[in-house]
Amino acid sequence: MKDDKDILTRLAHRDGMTVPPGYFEHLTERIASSLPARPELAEMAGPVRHRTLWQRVRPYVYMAAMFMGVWCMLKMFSLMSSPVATPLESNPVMAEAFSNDTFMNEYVIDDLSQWDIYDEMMEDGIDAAALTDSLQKIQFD
Amino acid sequence: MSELPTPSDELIERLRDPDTVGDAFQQVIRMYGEPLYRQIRRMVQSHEDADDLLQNTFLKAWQSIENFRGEARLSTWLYKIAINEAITHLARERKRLNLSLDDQESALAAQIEADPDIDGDRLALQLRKAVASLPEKQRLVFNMKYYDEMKYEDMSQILGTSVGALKASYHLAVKKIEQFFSNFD
Repeated sequence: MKDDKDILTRLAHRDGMTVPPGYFEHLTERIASSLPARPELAEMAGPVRHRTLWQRVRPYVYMAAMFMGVWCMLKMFSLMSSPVATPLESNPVMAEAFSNDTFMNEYVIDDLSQWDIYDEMMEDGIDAAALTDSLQKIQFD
Repeated sequence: MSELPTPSDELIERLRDPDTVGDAFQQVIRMYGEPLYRQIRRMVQSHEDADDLLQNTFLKAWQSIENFRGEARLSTWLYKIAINEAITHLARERKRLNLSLDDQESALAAQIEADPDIDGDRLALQLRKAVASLPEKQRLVFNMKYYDEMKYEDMSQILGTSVGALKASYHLAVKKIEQFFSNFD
C-alpha cells in the first residue's frame, strides 16, 4: 500500500466483484420471463390515422372566423355610437319635402310650440319681452 | 468497464412500436443488464440485493416503457431508475435496522470483507472498502466516474447536479480514498 497515489491507476477500474457462475448468461431470459404481459400497449397505439385536409386546416379556419366575428362586433359598436350624418341629397324624398315651402310651413314650422321657442330663447339669454317690444316698435314705425 | 452502450436508432424505433417492443426490451436487458447490475452492486454490496434491485429496475422501466419517447438517452433513463432503486433500498435498510448514515457505511465496508463474490484481488477489495466509507453522493459520483468512466455531462443528467459540483465531488472522493490508503500504511 506504499504507492497509494497510483492505486487508482494500478487498479485500472477493476472492482474485484464476481457473480455466481452463469449469472449474466441467463440474466436476460430470467428478467424477461418475470416481466408481466402488457397487452394494453398494443391497444394504446391503435391504428395509424391519417388526418384529412379539413382536419388539418380546421383550427386555422376557426381562428379566422373568430377574428372576423370580433372585427364585425367592433364595427357595429362604432357605427352605433357615432352615426354618420346622412346627406340630404342621398335621400330624394326628404330633399323634395324640405324644398317644398308649403310642407315646411304646414307640417314642420307649425308643429313648433311657441312656449318651446320662449324656453330656448330664455336658455340662450335672450329677453323675450324686450324682443316683443322691439318687434312692435318696428311694426309701428 | 467502459462507457455505457449506446442503443441504435433502430432499437429505439422498435421500443416505440407495440409489435416489437417486447423483443426490443429483451435486447435492452441484454445491453444494460451487466452495467446496471455493477452500478447497483457497488452501492448495496450484496449480490442478492443487487439482483433484486436490478429486476425491479427493469420491471419499472417495462411498466413505463410507453413514457420513453427517445428524447432522453435510454441509458440515462435506466440509470436514473437503477440509482433511485439503490438509494431507496439503502434508506429502507437504514430505517429497518435503525442505523445512522455512518453506521451504514461501516456495515457496508464489513459486508465487503465478508463478501464471497470477490476475486481475491486485495487492492480492489481495499478500494471497495474505501469507496464504501464515502458519503452516499460521493460514492455514486466516484462509482460512475471511476468504474463506469462516465462523462460528467451524462452524470449531470442522471443525478440532476451541475458538472462543476460533480467534478468537485469526485475530487473530494479521490482525496478521501488517498487518505484512506495512507492511513492504511
